[in-house]
Amino acid sequence: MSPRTKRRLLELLLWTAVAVGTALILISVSDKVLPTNF
Amino acid sequence: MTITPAPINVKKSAPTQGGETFGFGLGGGWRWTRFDLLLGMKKIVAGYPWVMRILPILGKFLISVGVGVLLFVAWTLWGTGISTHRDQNRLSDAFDAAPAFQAAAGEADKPHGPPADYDPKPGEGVFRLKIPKIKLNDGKGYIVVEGVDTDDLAKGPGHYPQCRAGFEIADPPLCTEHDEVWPGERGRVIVSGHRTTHGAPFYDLEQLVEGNELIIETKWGNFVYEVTQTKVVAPDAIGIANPTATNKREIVLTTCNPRFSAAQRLIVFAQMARYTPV
Repeated sequence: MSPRTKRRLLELLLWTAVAVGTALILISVSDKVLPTNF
Repeated sequence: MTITPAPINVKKSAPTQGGETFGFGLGGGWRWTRFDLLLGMKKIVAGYPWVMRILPILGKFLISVGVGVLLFVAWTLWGTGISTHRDQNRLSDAFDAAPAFQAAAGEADKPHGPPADYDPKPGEGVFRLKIPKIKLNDGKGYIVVEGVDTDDLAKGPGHYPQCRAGFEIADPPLCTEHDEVWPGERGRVIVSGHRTTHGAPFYDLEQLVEGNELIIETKWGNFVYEVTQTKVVAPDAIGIANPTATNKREIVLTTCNPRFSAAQRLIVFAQMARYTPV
């Protein structure tokens, strides 16, 4: 695997982590934000 | 930031020449086309190399956050149903395995509630609700749990409890100061359920009309209630959640309305029509 490909894969991993982190944060606060029988 | 048109690619165009313009004049008859604006922005940021470095990162970050929001929506609408169905399977097995209550002497032939010392814990399955008209849970029905807080409703529809140990008074109140009413008893049985999340048990509740049946299986008798009316109310109409609001044998189902919104509450009223001893 070339260094360039490796760097791009690592970058993709980083942005995937950002997306999953965002989703987890929203899930953790949704119980407080959404009404109980939404 | 003030943008001056002079050093950038701008053209003098009369309104009659056509072409796409933004419609905000920069004075002197000069108008920017969309192409001019993009080119102008590029020239402006070219003067600030750090902006050129940050913009791609910012763009990727915002796309990632957007994907995260989509993941959250998908989880809320469909993912939450996975644990609900798992809980329902467990609750259904426990409910079917539990022994029936013995009716007090002389009570077996007429509708009645559970024994006076019946004290289910939060989240415990208390009765099964079936609604043939909307094929609730593919016809299998839902086990209604005791309590209506977030954890309880994540397992299935919840029976509005009396305030006692385990059911704390919240704002808005999630329990009643009055004696709670059970199926078969006189008064109002109150059941709340999710409309669009956690398996969406009450997704089709607005399809119910007068005369539709609600079948309730309990450990002290089986009851058929018939819908008498449906109503849409404001979320703060908490007077409906009052077990003593009627002396008839009544049940109300409540959920959010319209779908994917919590702006209102949909209420279905039903009255007991038939009773079968267990």
